[in-house]
Parts: sequence; structure tokens; C-alpha cells
Amino acid sequence: MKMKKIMSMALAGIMVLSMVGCGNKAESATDSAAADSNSGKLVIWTLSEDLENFAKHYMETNKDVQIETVIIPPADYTTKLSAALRGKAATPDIIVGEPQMLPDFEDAGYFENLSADPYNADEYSDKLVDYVWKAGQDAEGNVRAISYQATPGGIYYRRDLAQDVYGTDDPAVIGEKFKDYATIKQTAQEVRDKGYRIFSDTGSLRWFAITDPWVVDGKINISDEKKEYMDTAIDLYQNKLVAFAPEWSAAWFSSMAGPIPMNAEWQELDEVDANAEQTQVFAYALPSWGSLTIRDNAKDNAGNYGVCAGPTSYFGGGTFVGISAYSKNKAQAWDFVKYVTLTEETSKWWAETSKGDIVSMKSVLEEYKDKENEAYGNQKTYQFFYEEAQKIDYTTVTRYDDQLKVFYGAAIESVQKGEKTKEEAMKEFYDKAKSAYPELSE
Amino acid sequence: MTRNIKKTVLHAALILLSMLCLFPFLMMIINATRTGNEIMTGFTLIPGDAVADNWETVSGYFNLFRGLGNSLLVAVTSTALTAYFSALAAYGLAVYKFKGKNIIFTGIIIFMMIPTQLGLLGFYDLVNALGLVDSYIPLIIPAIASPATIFFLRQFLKATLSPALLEAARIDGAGEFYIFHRIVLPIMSPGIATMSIGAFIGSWNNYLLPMVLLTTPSKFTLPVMVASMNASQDIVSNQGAIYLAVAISVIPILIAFAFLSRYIIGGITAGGVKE
Amino acid sequence: MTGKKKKDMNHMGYVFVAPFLIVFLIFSAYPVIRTLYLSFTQYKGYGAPTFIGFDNYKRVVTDPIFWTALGNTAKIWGINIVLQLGLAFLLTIVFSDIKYKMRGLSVYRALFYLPNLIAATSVAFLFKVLLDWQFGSLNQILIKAGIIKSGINWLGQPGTAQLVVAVIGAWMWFGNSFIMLMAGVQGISRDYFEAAAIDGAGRWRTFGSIIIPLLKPILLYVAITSLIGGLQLFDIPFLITDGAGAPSNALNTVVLYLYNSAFKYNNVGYAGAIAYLLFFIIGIVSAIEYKVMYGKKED
Repeated sequence: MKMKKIMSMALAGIMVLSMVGCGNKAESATDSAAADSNSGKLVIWTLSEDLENFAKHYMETNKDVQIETVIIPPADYTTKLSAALRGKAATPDIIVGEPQMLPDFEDAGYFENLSADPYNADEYSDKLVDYVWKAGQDAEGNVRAISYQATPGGIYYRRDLAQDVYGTDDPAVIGEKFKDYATIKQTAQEVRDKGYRIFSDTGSLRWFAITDPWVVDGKINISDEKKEYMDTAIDLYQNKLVAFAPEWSAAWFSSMAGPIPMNAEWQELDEVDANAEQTQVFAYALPSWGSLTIRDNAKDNAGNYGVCAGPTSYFGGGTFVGISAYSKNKAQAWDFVKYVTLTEETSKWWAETSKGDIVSMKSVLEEYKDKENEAYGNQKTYQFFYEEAQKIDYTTVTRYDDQLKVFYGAAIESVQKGEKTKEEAMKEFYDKAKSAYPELSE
Repeated sequence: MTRNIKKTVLHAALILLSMLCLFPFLMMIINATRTGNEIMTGFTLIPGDAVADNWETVSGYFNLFRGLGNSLLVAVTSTALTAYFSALAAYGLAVYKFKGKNIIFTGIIIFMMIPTQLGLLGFYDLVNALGLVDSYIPLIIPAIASPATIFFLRQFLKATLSPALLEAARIDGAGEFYIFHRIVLPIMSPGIATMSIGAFIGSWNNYLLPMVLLTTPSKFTLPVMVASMNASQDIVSNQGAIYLAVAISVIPILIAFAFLSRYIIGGITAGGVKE
Repeated sequence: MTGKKKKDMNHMGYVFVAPFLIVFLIFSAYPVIRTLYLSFTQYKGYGAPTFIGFDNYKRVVTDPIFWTALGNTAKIWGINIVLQLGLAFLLTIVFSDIKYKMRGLSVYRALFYLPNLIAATSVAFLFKVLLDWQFGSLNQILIKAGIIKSGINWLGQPGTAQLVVAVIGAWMWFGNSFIMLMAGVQGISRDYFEAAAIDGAGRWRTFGSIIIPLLKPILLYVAITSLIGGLQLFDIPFLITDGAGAPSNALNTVVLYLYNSAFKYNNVGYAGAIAYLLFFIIGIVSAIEYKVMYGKKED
């Protein structure tokens, strides 16, 4: 009676066993393959596919070297890297970090000191944009990681809308409209009067909040400038002067190509006129990589953008490349790092391959200065970013910036939506900041 | 009469509920045929025509079949281990009286309550010390110890197993393992099947641990592959490809589910045994 | 029943439990005990841990963010459990009713379980798209149906965001609870049902006086595991808010806070203290649940 049952169980068992068998065979095959090619092999752990392209290019000329690139999602990168390097694993030879990750990695001793022998990286310091070089240094000024890219920011605006509102699309004139918070507020109103919105979301303002440091001598520094940032963000939001489309949302992407729905979050819609149901976004504040995002999503608006400076020269992100302190193949790894970050041909090749990524090599930026960018109405974007990159003041940057900005942004958001008073929101901000960084005080 | 009307209404409600449960699969399959830009602008029920392009994108990143094989290897072996050894331990805890039994049982309950996320660091240290990084062993062997499954099966046995049956078997001279394999396992099979489905899915969808432990791309399981794609900069144009990869990764689960759920349907009940 | 033979058999218990116990001690107990040690230290995840006694615990009980996170978790879990178990119970009643003899149990059971098959990453991704404020299908449908005038920012407001996460949880898990309960019901002898039917007991009485008492062990399991799972709520809030717990911290759950403390802010020792305080709270609530269901200790 239960024969059927037992038979089917046995069948399942056989199936399972056969699957295991197959899997094992397949696995051992790759193991031996990996073991055979051990000589001259480099393993890269990175955040995006950039380095995979570099590696392929490198292998074309260095045929005896084998490079394996592992791309790890940014949210998990730190966890994975820490887990491996805490155990002093020899596996990744090349590791990377974004500027905000670097101080922790440096403290933990993950990066080889590139200022020391035999690397002596300091002799290359003139080659790169200054702020990029400084970002890769640890607290003692030793070089730990170097970046092939520079990520200065700008404000990308729609030329047709600028013509409509101001009768000109000249970057110098439009730049003036963003010169400080008070002017931004006024601009927002002027843009609104024509039915547009100055930014997709008030999050755009956060980039500018670096004119003075977030932390001074272990104290969280909420200066007047940061208070003004908060007030401006609240003001723009509550007066419905932004499009309520946060960065990376579907609405944000499609706003680059054309009008998006302007659903007021509030239920009483009487005050909103019919043609306000759709709106267009006037400008986006993003680091240089954002110029590619906008270009790739602009569709019919391609060529219809311009780029101008914001209230401060800022930067955001960037992949910094270094050598794991536990790598067993450091000489080869250094050759690769040098090739990626300190070689002019590579830098040029990357600028071409990436179709517009801003590189950190000064000589290349100089060379491309007069290059016109079709996607930006033939503006000389290289020149613009080169100038912005040189203006970045890295002395105001602290290791806490990114996280504090996130907390501050959350505080602003809860005031904007009327969920908390400013005092309550600030209290929560300090709570969070001190919980994340017990060493900081109010 | 009224009963039939009531039944119709009930069935209608059940069908509606089923549709809610099917919807994401539909959405996944349709989006797998659309381009990233189409997906970004909202959802429709009309399929697109970008399957081939999406497939090409996926193949450009990974050998998805390799990932399927890896995931299958890990999920099948760990499920088999969970099922068998949990049944063994649950039976041991349910029918025998031995010293330390209550401590073990309490330990099981207590360990179910500790958030697993923090064990990660210690777990990694251990795996590293044992030299098992980048191997499937730490993803498979710990499946032997699944407190939640044991707890469930013990409860299940308490509710379904009759002590008289065991006594009778013993009087007939059956050995303990014989009793377990020939009498108890069949009785437990609905419960084991239920828990196996959960274990298989948990292992199949497990992301954090393989993500941290596996370092060679050719050993990656499916979720790790999909996540790497998600991390790519070209997120918009990859959207369709990601859906395609996810849709493909769900298919084996659906098959396994259809296969395993048969065991529950068999419906061997304790009542049947008592007769 | 105290025959010599029976007593001999009892030592077999060790043999049956041994494989589990060995693997358990190595792979589960060790990491957790190490966490306990770390919770008494200041440890950044690298370097050497410094022993600081109960400082981490003192800090966590006065940490307003911890208590907010606990409140959020409890709220989300509360809504979730009512929906999930309520639905599962309703379905169990429908399918165990011998008068209705509902057909298609195996098909429905399979269908209801489907949401549980998808990885949390995909579920979160899916709901983010569906609930998108401007382009989400849900808002579009509701507006077309005339139920709302303008889109609701589901994930942007604390109240609706918590509701959404609770509903997602219920949607993912009600099929699982249902299968558990049905597996239990199928373990109950048909005799009971027939006897009840002969006695003329109604549907609700059969359910209340036969099914529930006989299902107690399974019910306890479902209740305790969903409590543990609920209070350890992590992946959906983590994925849906990109790890931040926005809006207004409403989706910051205890385990999300723990995870961020350990892996984002490098306060591993502190995270250990959060883990153990949460464990303590889960333990108390589970004990209460156990007491409520059994009144006294089992065995």
C-alpha cells in the first residue's frame, strides 16, 4: 500500500544523488583548471565593470597575466571585503573603494602603503588632479589608493527651458542663477512660474553642503551654511517648487526625456491648476558620471542640455584602486595599478572607451579641453569639469560626510513632510549620528 | 442550493487570491521581454520583443546555466541533509527519554531566537580558520543543524505519532533504525516535505552567505550572479536582462515545488496508521 | 511501561540527536557565543576587541533609536501577523470543512505558496516598481477606478510604508502558514470529524472544539516561528529603503539597525549587544505565548 510512496521517495533519492554527482564532477573540473593557471594571476574585487574593461585591455598587451574581475554590489562590498581581509585572505590582489569607504579600509590596514618602497607612488603626484590624489591618502599622508577618474560635479540644465525662462542658455548666465541658496530659491520661483520645476527633488541640494566640514575636532558642525541648506530644502519642498521625483526613481529617469506627472502629495488638489499635472525638470545636480546618465536617458532631449557650476565645487564617488596588504603578487598588482591610474595612454583609452568619463590625468584633461560634447549642445565639457576639479577643496572633507549627509537628509525629509518639527528632527539627527559614531559629540 | 452558491462565492474568492499570488510571476515574465527603458516607464500586460537582446545581455555577464548548476548542487544537497537529519533528531527528541534532552530542546528554541545576521562575522572567522572559504561545504554542511525544522517535526510527531505503534513494532522485534526508516519516516513525510520545500527555497534564494563566502565567479550561485548584474552601472539598460535572469532562476524552484508538493497531497495521516 | 527493554532503547536518543548536535555546536553555537563575547567589547570589526564590560548594554537601553526601531518592528509585525494568520485560518476552515468538501486543495495550496518562492530581493524590487508614486501600477489603477484623486506616496510616508511592509510579509507567508495548518489538520483522524458531524456540531464548533485543540503543537510552532521571524524583520525593509530605514525612520527595524551598526558603522560590539537584547525580548514574548497556549509547561 505504501509501496508507491517508498518507490517515489527512492526515485527522488536517486535523482538527488545523480544531481550531486554531476555537480561534483563539474566543480572539480574547474578547480583543477584554476590551479593550473596560478602563475601571474591577479584577482580584482571591484564595484563596477570599469575595471573589468581595464583588465581586458591590460591582458591584450600582457598575455602572460591572467586577471579575474569580481564585481560586488556596493551595498555588500564592505561586508565581503572585511570578511575576507580580516582573515588576511590572499585572494583579492587588487581592491577598490569609494572615497567615503577609504578611511575605514585604511584604519583596518587593508591597503598596501604605496608611498613606500618599491612603489614610491609620490613621484607621480603631479600627474593627477590634486583632490583625487589627496582622497587616496591616509591620515599620515601616505598614498593608499589611486583613482583613474575624477568626479567633479556640476549642474546640468535643459537649454530649451532656460531659453523659455531666461531667454538665454549661456552656462555663465544660468550658473549665476545657482550661485547661492537665496538665488536658488528665487530661481525656483521663476522656473515654477513657467510651469517647470528647478530640481527633480530637494536631494539635489545635498551636494553643495561641503563648504565647511561636517565635523570639527570631534564635534558635529551644523554651521549656518548647513542650516541654510535645510531651510532651503524645506522651503522648496513645501512650496512645491520641485518635482518630487527622487534620484534613481522611475520618474527621475523619465524626467530627463520629457514631462513627468506632477502628482501633489497632498490630497486637496483644488489649488493645483490642470496644466500643473505635468511638469518638466529644469536642472539636475550630479557629479561628472551623472552627465553620462543624463545623456543616456535624454532620448529626444539629446543635445539639449548644458552644464554650469553650482554654489560650490563638489565631487561625488569615484573608484579608487589599491593593492591588498595580504596579496601574494604585489609586484604584478602594482604594475596593474600603475597601468590603470598613472599611464597616459590608458587614461586616453578610457576616456574614449567610456565615451566621456572624466579621467584624473591632468595631461589628458588638458588635451581634451577643446573637445565639444554633442550631448551638451557642443559645450566643452572636459574644460568645465577640469576647472571644477581643480577648485575642489579637499580640506573640508571628513570621513563622516557621507553618512552624516544621509542622516541630515532624513531629518530634512521628515520636516518637509510635516512629520516632525525641526527640533525633533535635529534631535533624531544627533541621536543617529552619535549612535553610528560614538566618538562624536553635539 | 445555498451551499452551492456559497461554494461558488468561496471559489471566486480563492481564485482572486490565487491571481494575486500569480501576479509577480506574470510581471516577471512580461518584463523579461521588455527593454529597460520600457520597464522604467511603468508596467503593462503587453509583452515586448526584447527577449533575445536581454538574453544576450545576460550571457555577456555570466554563464547562467553554470549558476543554475551551482545553485542546484547547493540547494539539493543541503535540503536532503536538512530533511534527513532533522527527521532523525526530531524523532530522537520526540520519543526517547534521555538525560540532557530538555537542555537540547530548550537550546534549539533559544537558538531560533538569536538574530542570525550577527553570527556572520563569527561564522566567517570559523570558515576561514577551517580553510573552507570559496567552497560549498560551509553552505551545505550546516544544513544538518536546522533548529526550526527539528522543532516543527518534533511538534508534528507529537501530534501524529502513536506510541502504541512503536511498542507494537518493538514487540515484533524491529530495531530502532528500522522503525525509524520504515515506520516513522513515512508518517513524517508530509511534515518533511513541507519543511523541505522551505529549506530548498531558503537555500536557493540565499544571498548573503554565498555572496560573502564564494570568491571565484565560476562558483557563484544564481542570486549572487543576479546581484552582480544589479550592481552594474548600466542599470537602466540591464533592467530587462535582470528580470530575465530572475525569471529563469525561478523556474527550477517551480519545478521542485511541483515535484515536492505531491508528497503533501498524498496525505498520509496518522489516522491511516492507527487503523 | 518501565520495562527493561524500553529503558535500553532510550539511550538511542543520543544516537539520533548526535549528527545534529555536532554540526550545531560547530556552525551555529560557536558564532553566536562569539557574538556574546563581542557584545562586551568595543570592536570595530578589525584590530583587537577591547573589553568594556556592560557599556554596550547600558548604551543600548538608553538608545532612542533602538526603541524606535523596536516600536516599528512590533507595529509591522502586529499588522502582519493578524493578516497572515487570519487568512491562513480562514482558508484552513474552508478546506477542512467536510460539508463543503472544497475541491482543488492541492492546486490552491500550491498557488498560495508561490509568493514564498521568490527571493526577497526580487519581491522588494517588484513592489518598489508596483508602488512607485508617479508610475506605479497600483496608483494608476486606483486613480482610474476613481478611488483616489492623485497618487499616494506609499513608500514615502511612515504610516503607509509600514502598512506596505506588513502586507508584503503577509502576502509572502500566508501560504506557508496555511500549509502548516493544513498539514496538521490532515494529521487529525477523520473519525473526529465524522463523530462531530454525527453529533451535529456546526462548522465553527467543530473548528473550535476539535481542530484547534488537536492543532496546538503546530499552532504553537506557527505562532513562535512567525514571532521570531517577525521580530527579526530585515530583508524587505533593508531592500525597499536601500538600507536606510526611511521614511522618517519608520522602516528602521531592530535587525536593520543591528546590521547597519555592525557592517556600516563598524560598531560590531554594540551590534552584539543589540542582538542579545532583541533575543532577550523575543525570549520573553515567546514564553508568554507558550504560557497562553498551554497554560502550563508541556512534558
